[in-house]
Amino acid sequence: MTTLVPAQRPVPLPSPERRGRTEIADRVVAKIACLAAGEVPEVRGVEPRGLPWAPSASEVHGGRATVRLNVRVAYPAPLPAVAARLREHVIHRLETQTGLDVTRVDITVTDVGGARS
Amino acid sequence: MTDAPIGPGTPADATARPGPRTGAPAGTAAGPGSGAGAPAETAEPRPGPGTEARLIADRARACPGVAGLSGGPFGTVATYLPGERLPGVSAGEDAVEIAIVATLDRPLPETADQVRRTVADLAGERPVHVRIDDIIVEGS
Repeated sequence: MTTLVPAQRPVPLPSPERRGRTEIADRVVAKIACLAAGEVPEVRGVEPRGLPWAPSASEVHGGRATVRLNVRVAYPAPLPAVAARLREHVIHRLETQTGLDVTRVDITVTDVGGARS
Repeated sequence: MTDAPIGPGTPADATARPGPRTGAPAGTAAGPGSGAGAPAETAEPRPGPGTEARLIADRARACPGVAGLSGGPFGTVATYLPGERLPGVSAGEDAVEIAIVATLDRPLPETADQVRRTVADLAGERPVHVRIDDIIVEGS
């Protein structure tokens, strides 16, 4: 006596635009972060900050990104408030533009004052 | 009976053999834009990895939000064709890789999905990995 087991259905393929990875290079994240930082009004200058062993200012691992920036801020502006706003803006821009999860944005204020660039 | 199919076959091969030789310099010298007619004629009737990669490259380049193709990290994403190297597309047996330079008009995942959708029929069931290798910023 045999019972017929229904054949296992093949797993349906995902839609074409979901078949495969999307990788975003480090320098893309760094460029977008610099542009976004320049959009904050108190910021007078931005440059990406690399490390000796990681020359790019950002690293992408999986779906997560970290960014390091050197900024010059207008004087007199409250630095913690500017840094908080800068961080929020950079994270928002990066997340809408790249879809990555930004886990940290390290900001170093290297100088104050200076003309608006 | 067996001679008849072979007979036309060998001259076809013999005539086809100069094809890539004339086609490859045309492709490298004139580029895909100006010499579109001549390389297409030599490439279309011979299905193979080269034509597939070229088609994928052309379609990816035409996508909105794509500024061009890139070699990928260390120039590793490329297809090696007789006498020519096609950077930016690598169509293997189990995956298709495309490395692009994008613009910032739209979010990058949307651009990647658009590229995937455009080459979906060429890729078949293979996954298409899109790498955004660089971006072009307007006004700088």
